[in-house]
Amino acid sequence: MPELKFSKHSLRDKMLAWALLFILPILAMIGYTGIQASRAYEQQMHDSMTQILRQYAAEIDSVLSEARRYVVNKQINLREWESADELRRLQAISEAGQAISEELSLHTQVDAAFVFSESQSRINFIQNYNRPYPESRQAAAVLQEQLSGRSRDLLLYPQGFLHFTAGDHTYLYVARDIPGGVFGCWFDVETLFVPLKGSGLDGIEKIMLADRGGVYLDKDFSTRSTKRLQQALRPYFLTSEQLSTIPYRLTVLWNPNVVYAPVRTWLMRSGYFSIVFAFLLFIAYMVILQFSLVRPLNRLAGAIGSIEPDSRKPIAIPRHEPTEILNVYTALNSMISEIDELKIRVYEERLVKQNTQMQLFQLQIRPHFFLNALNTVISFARAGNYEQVRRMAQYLARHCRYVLYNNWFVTLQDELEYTQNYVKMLSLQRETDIAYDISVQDRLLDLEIPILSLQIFVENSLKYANIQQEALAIHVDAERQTVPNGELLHLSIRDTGAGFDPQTLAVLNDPKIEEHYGRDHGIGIANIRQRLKILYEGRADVAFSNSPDGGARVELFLPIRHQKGGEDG
Amino acid sequence: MKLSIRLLSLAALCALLCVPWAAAEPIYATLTVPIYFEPTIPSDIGLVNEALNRITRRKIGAEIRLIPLLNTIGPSADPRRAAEMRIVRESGVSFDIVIKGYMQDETVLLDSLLAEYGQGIQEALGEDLLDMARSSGPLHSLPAVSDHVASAGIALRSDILRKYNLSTENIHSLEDLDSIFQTVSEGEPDMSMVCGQRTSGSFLYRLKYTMVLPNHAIDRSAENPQVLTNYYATQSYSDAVHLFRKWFLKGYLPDQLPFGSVNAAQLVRSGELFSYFCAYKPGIEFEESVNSGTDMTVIQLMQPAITSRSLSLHNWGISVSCRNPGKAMQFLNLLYTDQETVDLLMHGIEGTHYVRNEDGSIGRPAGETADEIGYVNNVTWILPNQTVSSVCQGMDPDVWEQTAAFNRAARPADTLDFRFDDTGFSREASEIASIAARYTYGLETGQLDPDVYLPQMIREMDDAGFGEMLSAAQTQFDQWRMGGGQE
Repeated sequence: MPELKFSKHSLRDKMLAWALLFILPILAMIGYTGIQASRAYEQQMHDSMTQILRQYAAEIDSVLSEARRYVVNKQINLREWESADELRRLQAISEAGQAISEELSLHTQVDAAFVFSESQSRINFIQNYNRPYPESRQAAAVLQEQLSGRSRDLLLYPQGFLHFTAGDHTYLYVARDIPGGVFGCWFDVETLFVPLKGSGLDGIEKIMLADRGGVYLDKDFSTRSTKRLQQALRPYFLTSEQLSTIPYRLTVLWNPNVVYAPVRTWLMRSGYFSIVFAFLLFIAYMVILQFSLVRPLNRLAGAIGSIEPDSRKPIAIPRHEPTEILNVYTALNSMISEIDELKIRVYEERLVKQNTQMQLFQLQIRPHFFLNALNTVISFARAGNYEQVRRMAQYLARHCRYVLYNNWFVTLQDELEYTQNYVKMLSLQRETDIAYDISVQDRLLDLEIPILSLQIFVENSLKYANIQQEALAIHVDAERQTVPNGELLHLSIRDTGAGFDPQTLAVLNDPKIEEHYGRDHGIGIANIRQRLKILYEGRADVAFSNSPDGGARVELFLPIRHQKGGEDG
Repeated sequence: MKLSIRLLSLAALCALLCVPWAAAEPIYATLTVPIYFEPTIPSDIGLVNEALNRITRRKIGAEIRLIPLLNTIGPSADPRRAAEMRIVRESGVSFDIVIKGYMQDETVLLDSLLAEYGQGIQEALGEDLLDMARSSGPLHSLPAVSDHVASAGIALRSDILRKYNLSTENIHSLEDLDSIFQTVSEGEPDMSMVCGQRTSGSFLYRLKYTMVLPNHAIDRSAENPQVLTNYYATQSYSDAVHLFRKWFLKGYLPDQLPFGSVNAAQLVRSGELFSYFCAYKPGIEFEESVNSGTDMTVIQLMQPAITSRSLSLHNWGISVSCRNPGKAMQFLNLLYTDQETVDLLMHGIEGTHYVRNEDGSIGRPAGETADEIGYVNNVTWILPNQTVSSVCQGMDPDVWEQTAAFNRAARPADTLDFRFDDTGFSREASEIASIAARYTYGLETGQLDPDVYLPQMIREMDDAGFGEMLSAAQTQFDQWRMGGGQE
């Protein structure tokens, strides 16, 4: 496992962050879905339980309705119970008891039927099948007390079912006046709940009735304090249904742990599964990340780091690396190869530049030219032609100043003046008159051109064109030319000589003139071509031709360059 | 592919191995058997039924379906009993084993079944008792080992007796109770003094066991045992009902009479009754104390006797509708002989409903009250043979030996094999029974003035032809005596 130390620049940690960015929302979504599912289940359970409760409420309503109907329709006369004839009285009581016993077998949920004798202020009751007697007796005593009270009229039908409490039990009763007393029946509310309790529904904690005022008929929940009631009800899941026969609500308290047990178990399982799955996924992701990206990258970085500065060897490409990493290796090797080639080219260019500069120096210094000039001065001095000596020395001094104190670029004006100085010096030296005509607009004089770029061609004209002619004229024109890529300075050097022979012209116009280096037209022309290439990166050109009216013509096409090195276009 | 074939082969082998075992699960004959409780049916009856089946599958290769019924009203006609039985029958229940006296089902002759499957029963009952049972006719049902003796007693709250320092040593008759009731009623004015075993029952219910022909109001004369007379016209009956009238007029009887039919023990339990008439036998005080929820003292009111009635009170037989009488007899044999079965039906499941003490007696689980135990059986006396069961904690350890001695000491009635052929008197018999039903409950609980209604009842009986029927009975009795029926 990699060391887990977070760094915001680490690819691994970024990928980790991204993984968390995906996994955490997914976990959150699972959690949210779980909560929503839980709520939906809760609502569904509530609806389902209410539906079930409704059925049982209807059953209770039915039982109570039947009991009420029974009480209302029961024919019983307590006057016979007061007969002076003991046998008749006994028979009346026995027969009534037997009849009620039999009738109770049809109302199995009635706990007891009772008669209240007004004359005796006493309740006689018959408990139904399978009911414990002591509770019934206790209930009868409470009811007897109520019915003996003055407000008895308020406690009878048609008020319908009312309730009373005896011991720990709550009872509903319905009663009506009969001759000589009251007849009625009561239900232990717990008996009414027996079908619901025996329904097999899990989680029922308490079944109660609540009266009109919302007070529960149960000793544990009978408080009228809303706060206490809420507190008491809080642990439960509550459903309730209004009974139609009586003004009470049937309320069931469910144990939420039991009711929600299935969904909770499912949610817990799915939650645990999700977390474990997410964790395993994360681990797997980290391992895959480690083996498929981080380690290959580290190997790549190590391979790159191990490249020696002057090594031309390509990096050894490991097998089994991911394709993308292999592509990087290949690209890197390709880059190494290109860098290597570039280094060679730069080196070569530097060599060319050095060579070119060396040639330029040779052109500038040219000791042979100086020696000739000095010989000319000496010959003028021997002849006592001191004026010639002075002029020659003056031209030579200008010549030396120009070539020694300038480097690559000079203004067009300087080059024209120097060329003129050069022509004059040669004219004096050869004692011939050389016409040197310049046709340049003033606004072009400040443009910069490579040093000796005119002088080379003028020198060539003087050197070759003057062989068989008495008088040579050299014309220099300059103009700005507009071309698709911008503007060029067009320099033209024409002479009135014999012009170039075709063979020379072919050599001169050959871009690879350096291959002809050393020939007649070699060194100067090659040098100027090389310099133009270096200085203008191939954007300058030189062309050789013969004028239609005879004589050689050299044309230079130079990008516009102002003083201080700025170029136009 | 090879793996799949191996797995399939394995599954097929498993299936083949399982099939014979599944098929070997036996199908047991099921016997439907009634079981009585009071005052309510225990909630764990299902658990006990399952435990019983585990025993019966093992011991007789049958399953039992127990049908719990309530004994709140005794064998007397009661609408609720009729309703209960109707509901049970309507639900499709057909009893294979029946309790005569409680159920009206016809039963099969038992002699051959008894010979084949009931050796244990024969040993438990003994030849003498079986002969007595046969003396009244073909053997259609079997008497109980423990409760075939006529006896009567009265159960009184021991705490009240102690409170008023009342001794029961000299109490032997109904008249002797008068002074005790007098003292207690003065001290406990809100308490009723006495009641039958049920509020709908007569005080003389058990004392009538000695009647020669209780269904026809015919008994032997006290002065001359060879002469038959109207039981209700005897001096002893007149004395008894006058005594009860006196108690009634003193307000000794419960309020509920005769509207409902409540077990008197329940009235004691709710604190409104001091005493009630009951059986008398060894262990009866323990039984009634459990029923009443308080310590009861039981006083013997008659000498034990074996009569044709006592022999047929709750006899066990096999219904003619039973499809497997052999298995039914085998189950009856278990009820008469098998301690495990009887202990289960009497006390429930060990560890759940009772614990077994070091001395082997049955104790209540620690920390549980009687109401919290899921299985309590207060009607154990209805079982054919309690004496094979374990003794409860608090009972005499030798209670079953005492019972055997008590039963042995009981004098068999000398008229056991006398049967009155009332052919030709069915109308009279029916009318007389109807008259008796109308008057006797009121007279025998003091609610009817005997000076008015006893002569009235006797007169009505005479008007219904009692004299002619008595005369015919006397003739038959004389013939029976002449035939050597009387020793």
